[in-house]
Amino acid sequence: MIPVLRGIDLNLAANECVGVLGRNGMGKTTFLRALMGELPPWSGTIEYGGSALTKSTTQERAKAGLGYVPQGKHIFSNLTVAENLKMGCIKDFRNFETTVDEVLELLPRLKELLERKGGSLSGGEQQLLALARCLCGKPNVILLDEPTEGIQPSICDEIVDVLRLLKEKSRISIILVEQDIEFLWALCDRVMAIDKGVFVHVIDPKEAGSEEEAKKFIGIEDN
Amino acid sequence: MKNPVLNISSLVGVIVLAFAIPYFVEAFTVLNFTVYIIMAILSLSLAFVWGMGGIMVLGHSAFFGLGAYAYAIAAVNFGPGWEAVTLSMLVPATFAALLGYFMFYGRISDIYVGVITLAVTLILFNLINSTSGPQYKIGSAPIGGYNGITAVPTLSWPNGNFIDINGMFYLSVGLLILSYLFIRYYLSTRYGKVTVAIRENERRAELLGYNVAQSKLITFSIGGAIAGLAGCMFANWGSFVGPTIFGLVQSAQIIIWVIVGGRGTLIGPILSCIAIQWMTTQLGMQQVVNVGFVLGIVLTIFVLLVPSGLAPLLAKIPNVVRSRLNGKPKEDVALGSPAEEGQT
Repeated sequence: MIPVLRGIDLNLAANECVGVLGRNGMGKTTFLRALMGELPPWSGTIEYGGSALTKSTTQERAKAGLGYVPQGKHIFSNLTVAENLKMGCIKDFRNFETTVDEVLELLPRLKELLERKGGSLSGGEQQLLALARCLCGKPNVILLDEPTEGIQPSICDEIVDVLRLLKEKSRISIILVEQDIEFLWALCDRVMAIDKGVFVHVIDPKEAGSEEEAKKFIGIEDN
Repeated sequence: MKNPVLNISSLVGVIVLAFAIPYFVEAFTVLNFTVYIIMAILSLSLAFVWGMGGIMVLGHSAFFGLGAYAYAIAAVNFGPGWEAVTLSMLVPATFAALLGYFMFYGRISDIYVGVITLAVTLILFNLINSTSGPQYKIGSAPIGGYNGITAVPTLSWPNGNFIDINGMFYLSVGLLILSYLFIRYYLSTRYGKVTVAIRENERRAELLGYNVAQSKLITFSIGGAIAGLAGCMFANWGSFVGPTIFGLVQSAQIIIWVIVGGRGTLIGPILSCIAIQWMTTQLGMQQVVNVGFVLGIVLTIFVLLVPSGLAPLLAKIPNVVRSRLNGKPKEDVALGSPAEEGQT
């Protein structure tokens, strides 16, 4: 067996947004899946708020406060938008109406779609729904896997606005796997470049020329 | 069918129809309809486990058989009372819980769950088949091997009166309605929603923090209990249980009822079960076509041409008619979409 991730060392502070950037097949999604417990690590530890999570199940990690929005949305396509959101209220199911209302205030576009089946929404709307459902679980850390993939720019902007607001007001931390440099730079405090399962470089988006520096890690070279 | 008035009127309609049937048909037909209804309870239980819970069970007859045998053995030992009926549900439910524990907490994939359940029912079939000697007894009840248990004491009304043919029919209809309402209620609760969510996307449900294995175990056990209830009624209906109820044919039939009726609906598998059994009886009266051959064709047609099943197809008709009349397309109805359980 060949290890996919090696030399991964990351500390995530409260209220921080860390981006993970790299070409396809470099281990970005594997990194998030390992954090969520879908792929148990052979070695190393994962700690959250001082407690070890390495041996916790996916369910336990979700309940501890890790919210995951995987690539491909993974909504419940035959449930309505309202039911999808209700299902997200894992922590406080009895007060789901309040939680859903709070989330809908952040993502008002979904208000008009509540009775629609998840599967009948556009790709962008599904992405918003996946994010909203994750927020219904009141996570402390959000793991986002390529949220802009195949999404129209206006919805990408909406996602940026929501995440920025959450970061500012709710002290939520975010790990954002993405190849869209503009999106990453709009949100992240620092960006980790990953190559063949190793974090090879840390980029500070505030530094001048950092975008050009990032491009080489996703295989875009300016001529 | 989200309209409560329509729901209540449909229920009243079914009760009135069921009440009237014995007055208009002969006793033999009532007897046949009774077994159709009992099998519909069995079909409903698989519709819940497989259609709603997404747990592919190929050997669902195991729970049906366990329920029938549990009732028969308890009725011989303790008499045909509520204890025997309770055991007929408790034994298969416990068996399902034990089996489910190893399958779901062991994270066995869907297809292997199906294969294991099939293997289990065949093991039970062979096990019961090989208990024909007089030494194989539970209490005073001989298991009977391939001869089964004959002269099973049947239930009486609470006032002690014997349940006649019509009474057995009414009781079966009542239990079918109760089972249906119970499942509908369960699916409307939080646990029921999780059940459907797991069927929709197991990984996603787990990532949200739901205990997938526990939820599946509950679904599987409830399904086992309802199948056991059907087994209890079957033992009462014929006053006999034999090992063939664990057999492959029985298991295959239940799957066919659910596929034809529509996986993801509750009404569909009930109606298809009754319709297919009626058709089987009618075909059995002639000598021209083999019944199994016709059933095979019916299954093939549904799998190839109507994979979503009968109920979603029928549910789509009003929308199609409405859109034709209005001259504009209505919102698409996802044929066979399991979420239509709320409508059927």
